Amino acid sequence: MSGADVFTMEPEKVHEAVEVLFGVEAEADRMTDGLRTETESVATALANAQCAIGDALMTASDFWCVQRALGFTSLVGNLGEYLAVCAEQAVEIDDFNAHDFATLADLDRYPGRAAENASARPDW
Amino acid sequence: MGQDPPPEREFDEAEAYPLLEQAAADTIAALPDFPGFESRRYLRPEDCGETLGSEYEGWVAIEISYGFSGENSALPLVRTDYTNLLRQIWEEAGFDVHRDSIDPETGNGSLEAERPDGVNLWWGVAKGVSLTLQTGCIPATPDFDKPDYISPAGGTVTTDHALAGDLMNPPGDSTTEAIDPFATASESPTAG
Amino acid sequence: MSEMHWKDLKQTDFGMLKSLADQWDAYINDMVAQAEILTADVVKKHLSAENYESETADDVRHQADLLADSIQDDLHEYAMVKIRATLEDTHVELVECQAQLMDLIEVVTGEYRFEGSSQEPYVVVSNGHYERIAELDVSAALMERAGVKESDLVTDFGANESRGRLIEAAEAVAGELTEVLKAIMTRAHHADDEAAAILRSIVDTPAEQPPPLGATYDDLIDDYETANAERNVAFLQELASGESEATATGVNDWWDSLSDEEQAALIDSNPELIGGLDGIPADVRSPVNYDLLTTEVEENGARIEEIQAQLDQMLADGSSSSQAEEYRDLQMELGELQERQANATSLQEALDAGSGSGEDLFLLDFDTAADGQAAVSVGNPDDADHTAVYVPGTTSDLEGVSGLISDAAILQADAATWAPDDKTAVVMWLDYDAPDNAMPIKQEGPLYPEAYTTEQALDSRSGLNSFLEGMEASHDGESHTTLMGHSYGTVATGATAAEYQIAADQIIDFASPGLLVDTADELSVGGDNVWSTRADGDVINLAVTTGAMGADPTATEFGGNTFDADAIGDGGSAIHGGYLSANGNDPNTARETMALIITGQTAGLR
Repeated sequence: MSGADVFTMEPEKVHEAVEVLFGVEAEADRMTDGLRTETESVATALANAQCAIGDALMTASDFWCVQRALGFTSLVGNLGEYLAVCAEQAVEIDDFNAHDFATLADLDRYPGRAAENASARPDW
Repeated sequence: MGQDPPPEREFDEAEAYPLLEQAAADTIAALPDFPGFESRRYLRPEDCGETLGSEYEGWVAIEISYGFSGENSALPLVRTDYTNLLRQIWEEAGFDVHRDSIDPETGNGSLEAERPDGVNLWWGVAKGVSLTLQTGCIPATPDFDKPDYISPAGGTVTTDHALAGDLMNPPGDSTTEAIDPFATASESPTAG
Repeated sequence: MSEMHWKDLKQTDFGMLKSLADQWDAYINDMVAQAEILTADVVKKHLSAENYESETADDVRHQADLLADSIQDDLHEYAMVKIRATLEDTHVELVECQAQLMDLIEVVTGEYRFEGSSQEPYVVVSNGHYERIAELDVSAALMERAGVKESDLVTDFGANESRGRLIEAAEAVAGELTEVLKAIMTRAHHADDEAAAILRSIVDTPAEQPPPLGATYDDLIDDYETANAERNVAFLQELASGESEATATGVNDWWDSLSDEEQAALIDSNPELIGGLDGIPADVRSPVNYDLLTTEVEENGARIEEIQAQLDQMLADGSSSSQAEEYRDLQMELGELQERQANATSLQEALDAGSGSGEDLFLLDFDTAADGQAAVSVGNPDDADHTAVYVPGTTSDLEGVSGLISDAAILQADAATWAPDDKTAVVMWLDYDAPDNAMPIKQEGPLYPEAYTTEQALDSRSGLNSFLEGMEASHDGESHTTLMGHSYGTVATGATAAEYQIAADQIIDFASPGLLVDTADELSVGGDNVWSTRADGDVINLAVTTGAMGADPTATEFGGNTFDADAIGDGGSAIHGGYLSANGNDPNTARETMALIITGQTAGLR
C-alpha cells in the first residue's frame, strides 16, 4: 500500500467514535461478567444435584463469556485504538500495532487505557 | 370370522350423493326455525374391499356431513329441541335407532338411526352439532369420478368444504341433466 | 451421563433454569443493542463519509459493520440457540418429571418406599405396610387386587393364606410402581443428558471472529469473509446433522432470527437440510419438500431411462456377459431406483389428490428409500388449536400412503365438525420403518413376523420425540397435542412416551397389542390422559394375550381411560382396520370419541 493517505477527517467526530467504541467494549464486558457469575452459580447448583447439565453449562458459559464475548470486546477495543491513533496521525491498517496506541494517541482523552492493556502490547 | 357376502343394496355410488343430500334436506325440513348449516363436507369414498375384506371388493362407502356453527350449536333449539324432535321422528318412521347416547344433563352425545335402505343418519351433539349421512358399503359405479353439484341442504352453507376439496363438479359444470333422486337405477343418467 | 437420583429430582428447584434463561434472554437483547450502536452511531454518524474519508476509512467502517454482524450471529447461534433455548426446554421437561415424581410419592407414601441408585431405582413395600398386612389391616383396593374377601379372613387358615396373597399383591404393586419410577427417572435423565450434549457442542466447530486491525489483517480478512458468507449454511448443516446440536425450540428461534433474504438463500442452497428439520415452520418445510419430491421424481425418471438404455445396449452388444459385474451393478441400481420411484410417485399422486376435505396438505418430511416414510399433515399444525399426530401400524408404507392420508383426513374432518370454532390439524406420521408383517396368523407371514419384535418401535422413539418437539416449537402460542396410534403404531407411541417427556398432552391408542408398558402411569402424559380402545373380535387380541408388547391397555389394571369401539367389518383382520369405517348400523362411537378427545372435550367421557 502507498504511504500515509491524505484524508478528510473531523478529529472530534473520530474521537467521539472512539469513545463510543470504548463504551461498548466496557458495557459488553460488564454485562458478560455479570451473566457469567449468575450462570456459574446455577451450573454449580445443578452439578451438586448430580445433573450432567451442570458441568456442561459451565463449559458453555466459559466458551461464551471468555472466548466469544471477550473476543468481540477486544476487537471493538482494537478498532477504537486504531481510530484513536488515526485521529492524530494516519496509519495504514497493516502497519498498526498496539504500541502505536500507547505512543501516538492522545492518551489524556483515554486515561489509564494504555497501561491497562499493557499485556496486549508486547512491543511497548 | 365369517366371509358373508355383503348385503344387497338398493342404490349405487352415483345414486348415493343425490340420495344422501335428499336425506339431509328431508331431515332439516322437519326442524323449525332452522338457522342454516355452517359447513358441508364430503369424505373420499372409502374402498370397502381394502378396509372390510375381500368380499367387499368393488364396493365403496359414501359419507357426507353438515355442521352448525359453534354459536348455533350452543342454542337450546339446536342442541336440545332438534335432538328430541329427531329422535321422535326417526322412531315414528320406524328407523332402527341403534344408538342414543345423548346425556340428559349436558345434551351431548349422538343419535344414530339406520333407514330401511341402509342409509345411516348420525346426529351428533358437542361443541359442534352435526348431521352425518352414511351409505355404508354400496356397489361402486364403474368409471364414476365425482358427483355433479347439488345445492347444500338448507340452501346455503358458509363454507362448502366439499366443493373446495374438489369432491364434486362445480355448479354449472354438469354434463348431464339434473339428477332425480327418486329415479330407479335403470333410469339414472349416470348408471353404467 | 446424568447421575440424577430421585432425591435430586425431588429436591432441586428447577426454576433456576427458567430464571437463568430469562437472564440470558435479557443479555442477548442488551448485547444486540450494543451491536446496533456500532452500526447506527459509529458507522453511520461519527464515521460517516463526511466526517471521515480516506483509503482506509471504508475498511474501518466495514470492520465496525463486521463486528456488529459477527456478534449478532454469535448471539443467535450460541447464546440464544445453544444456551438459552436449551435452558428453557430443559426447565419445562424437568419440572414435568418432577411433578410426576411428586404425584408418585403421594401415591406411595405410607405403603411403599423408594430405594436404589440413580440408575437403578426401585420401589419396595414399606415395613409399616408389611406389618399392617400381618394384622390384616389393609385397604379395600389391595384386598380386591389380591382376590381376598372378608369371608376369607374368618378362619385362621383362611387368614394366613390371605396374608400370603396380600403380600404377593402388594409386591406386585411395588413392581408396577418401580416401572413408573424408572420411567420418570429415564425421562429426567434423557432431558438432562440431551441438554448437556447440546451445551457441550458449543465448542465443537465455532465460527471464526473477524481479524483485528493490524499486521495480519490483510492476510486474514478475505478468508474470514469467505467463511462468514457460508456461516448460515454451516450452522444449518450442524442443526440438520442429527447430533445433539440444538433443541427444536433453538432451531425455530434461529430460523426466526434470519432475515427473509437469508432464509430464502438457505432454502435455495440447501433445501434437503430444511425439509425435515424439526423446529422449522410447517409453511416453510412443506413447499421445500414438495419441490424436493418433484425433483426426485424427475431425476429418478431420467436416471432410470438412462440405465435402461445402457442395459439394453449392453445386451445388444454382448457386454452384458463380458462385463457381467458392471451389468449386474446397473441392474441393482435400477432396482433400487425403481423402488424409490414407485414410492415417490405414490406419494406425489396422494398429495396431488389432496385431503379431499378442502384442507391443505403439508408435506413435513419424506424418504423414498426401502418401504418409504413420510409425515403429512391435514391442515397447518402451526396455527391449529388442536393437533393430532397419528402413527399408523403394520404394513404401512408409501405405496399405501393415500389410504393413510385419508384416515388422517377423516380424523381431521371429525374434529373440525365436533369443535367448529377450533382449528384442528392431523398429522399422519409414518417417519419410521413400520413392520412389514401383521400378526402371525397361520395363513400369512413368516414364523417370526416383524410385528412381534419391539425393534422397530424402539428405533422410532427419538425421531417421533423430535418430531413432536418440532411441532411444539414451531407452533404459535400454546399447543394442545394428542399422540395417536393404530396397531403397531401404538407400540411406537407407547415406547416413545415412556422414554421421553413428549411434547403431547394425551395419547389415544386403538387396536393396540400393547404400549410396551405395564401401566398407563409409565407414560409421560400420565395415566389420566391415556385413552385406549379395542373392538371385540379384533385380530390383534392374539398379540395382546401374549403380553409381548406390554400389558393390555384396555384392562382396568392398566390404569388408563377406555372407550368403546364397535367391531366394523367381517373377520378379525377387517375389524382391526375398520375403526374409522362406516357400515350400515355399525355405530360411529370410536370416531366420535376420538374427535372429542382430540378437541379437548373429555369432560363427559370419563
